[in-house]
Amino acid sequence: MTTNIDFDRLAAAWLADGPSELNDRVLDSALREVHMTRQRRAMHAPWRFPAMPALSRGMIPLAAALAVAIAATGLVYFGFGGRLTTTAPPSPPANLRFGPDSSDHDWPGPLRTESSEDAVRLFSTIAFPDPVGDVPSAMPWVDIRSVGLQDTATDYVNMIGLSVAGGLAVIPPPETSWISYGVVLDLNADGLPDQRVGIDNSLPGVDHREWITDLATGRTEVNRTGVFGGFGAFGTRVETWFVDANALPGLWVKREPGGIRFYAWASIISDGRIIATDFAPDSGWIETTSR
Amino acid sequence: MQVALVERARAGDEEAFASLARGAGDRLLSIAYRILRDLGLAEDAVQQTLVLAWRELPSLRDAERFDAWLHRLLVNACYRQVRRDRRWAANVRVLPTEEPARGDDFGSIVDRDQLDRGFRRLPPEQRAVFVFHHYLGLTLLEVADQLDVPLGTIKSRLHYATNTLRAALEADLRVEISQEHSS
Repeated sequence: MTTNIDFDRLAAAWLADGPSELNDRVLDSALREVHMTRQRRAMHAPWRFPAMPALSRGMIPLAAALAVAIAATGLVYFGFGGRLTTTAPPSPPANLRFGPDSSDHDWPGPLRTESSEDAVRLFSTIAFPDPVGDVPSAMPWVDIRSVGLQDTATDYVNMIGLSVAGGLAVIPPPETSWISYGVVLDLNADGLPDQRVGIDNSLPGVDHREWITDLATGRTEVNRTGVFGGFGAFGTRVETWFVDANALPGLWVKREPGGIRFYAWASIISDGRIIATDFAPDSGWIETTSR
Repeated sequence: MQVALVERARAGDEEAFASLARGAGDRLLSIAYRILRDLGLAEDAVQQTLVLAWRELPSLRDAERFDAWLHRLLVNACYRQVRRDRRWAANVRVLPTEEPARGDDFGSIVDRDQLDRGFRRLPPEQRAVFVFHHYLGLTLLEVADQLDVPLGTIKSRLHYATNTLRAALEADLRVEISQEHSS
């Protein structure tokens, strides 16, 4: 019988065995990758600390007022309009059951068509808050809590970021739970969706896939990626990750020049059914400002 | 000194971050290896952690919490490595033997071999707690703080890990076990 003291000493001795020096090759490789990796400005509350949204220097007076208003009511915007409609897909209902070729196509869930009237204006580095609790509490990883612009440098304009209420520590297989995040873009402000951009867990064996669909033609470009993805198609560029340091997804979408209109979504398909979906905003579009 | 480096790195100073990485690299590798029990996977986890730390560093408001924050990133990276390498639990065959001989230093070869096999059966979350407590020497409260997990959960994970490893040491050595996790 192993006593507590015996076991602890045995465990410590056993754990003491093994490598304890990092190979220079690994460190050098990591630093090379660091050199090519952009730091992510904190859009939402930083790790373990609540915070007000960061403010762009040039927008401080206006943004301060907006930030206070949002904090107070959560519902004050500059311009709001649109009504919620859900349109049936233009083609026969998509097969929602995950299959061998699912990862070659667009997300099969429905699109929203919104009014082409006023949209929510989103200023640099201000996060648009979305009510938490839109989906069952057991699925916080598809409960959008904010959408905002990532203002990292002057050459990155209209870069959208997505934040959800809770992280996903273990990514399930898509056969069990097909999880996706993304944005739908209205490129000409006519109220009709033009592109769908997203990430999902449809490719076991790689970290995640990212895709861009041209809704007019139905063409989908897919990129199978590692932890940090990034590619471009149809004039849109994305940089994505499925799980970050806080187990949260990230989706940066960039188009230049000028502002873009979009809404964000997060969704789960299970057993051939959409079991949870959240949109931000809940109706209408968000319009980013241009520099 | 480290706080100043963290603040500089947080502001985008790559040289400052490189200094932090060099200072933390050995420790991260030690922890990752002891969780994953595979040098290649451990090196991958460390590399991912350092890149992720650079990318996410602006979100760390308290520079003095850098080490704890880095450990948490590393543990998450280890979890992801386990998910990717789904055959992490090797076939286990325990050979029949007499009463294990105890050497002068703690742990005979057989004991350590059985610990190794028992450890590989543990889920990664239990492994991490076990390593942080027994290898890093942290109290359970400190482990809970580092991993940002409730103390009760830490206690539970350590309890199950310890029981599994004790059972591995005391199991009927004529039992042949074959366990493979695959997707």
